Amino acid sequence: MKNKKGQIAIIAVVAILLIAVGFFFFWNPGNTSAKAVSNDNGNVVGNSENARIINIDAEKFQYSPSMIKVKKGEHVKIAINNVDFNHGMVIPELGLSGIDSIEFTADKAGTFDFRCPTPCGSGHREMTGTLVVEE
Amino acid sequence: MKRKLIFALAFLFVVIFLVLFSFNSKHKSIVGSKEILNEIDGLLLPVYHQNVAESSFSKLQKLTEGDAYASGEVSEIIALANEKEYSHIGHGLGFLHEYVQTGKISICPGHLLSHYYIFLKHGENNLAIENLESAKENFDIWKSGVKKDSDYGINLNLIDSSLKRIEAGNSTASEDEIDAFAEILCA
Repeated sequence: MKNKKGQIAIIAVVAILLIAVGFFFFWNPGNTSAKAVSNDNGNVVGNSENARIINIDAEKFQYSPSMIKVKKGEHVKIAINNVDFNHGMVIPELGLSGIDSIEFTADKAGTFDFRCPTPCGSGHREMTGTLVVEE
Repeated sequence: MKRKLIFALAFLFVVIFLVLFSFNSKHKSIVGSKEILNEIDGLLLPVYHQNVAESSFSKLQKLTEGDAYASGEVSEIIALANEKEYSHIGHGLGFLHEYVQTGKISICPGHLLSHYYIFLKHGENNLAIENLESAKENFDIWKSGVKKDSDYGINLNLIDSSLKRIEAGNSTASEDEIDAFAEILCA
């Protein structure tokens, strides 16, 4: 009986040891998914499975397409395909920015400029586009 | 006997736990960290508005602690922020984003040369020399790895002639030249 208890204790210790090893090698708090948050302008940003994905190419010195149309209230994710450089995108009026994607709920109708935030060459200043949020 | 064995195993467990904890906290990979990528994304706008200071990068600095490349890149970004070199901060954030996303370290001798001239201009001689040495080290790797597009020959001559000029004691470069170096494609 006593011998059996000892064996169980040993097995328990070894099991805890293995769990601890696994925990420290495979758990990485840096890789947690982002939660939806609001930016300073009140736009809901973050990850959502319900977002309409809009693909856009970013290449010296243009976005293609250079005009994006969305409906007011629509939750969209602009997925940026940086072809030759990490251009990214900022939409200053909406307080949005991202290197390879921008996700937000378009809760303000209007026309907003977007531009390249990472200086990428002589045509950088002209690397712009327009986001139209329709009523 | 059994009790001694249990104590020995428990002791071993504690030792391994402490060793792993120490190892893990220092060497945990930041590649793929959504938190860092989000932080970089969030910094693009204030950098675009030229509204950043050293403190703006405190969180990024903390998140990249323990990763030699990333923490070095953040230190460089902070030094550039202190000198109000905003456009070059944007570049740095772009490189850092690529590294955190893919684990790839960009080989950019042109960019390093631009930082050499910038730091020299601001009297940051140690930082300037560090960038120059890195540019020299990376030049051959860049030559073999960079995409050979139509600008390759021009860029090759630009870097080569600049390194030779510096070697000969001439470290002057115009703002346009510095910008041109910064825009050279990385490998």
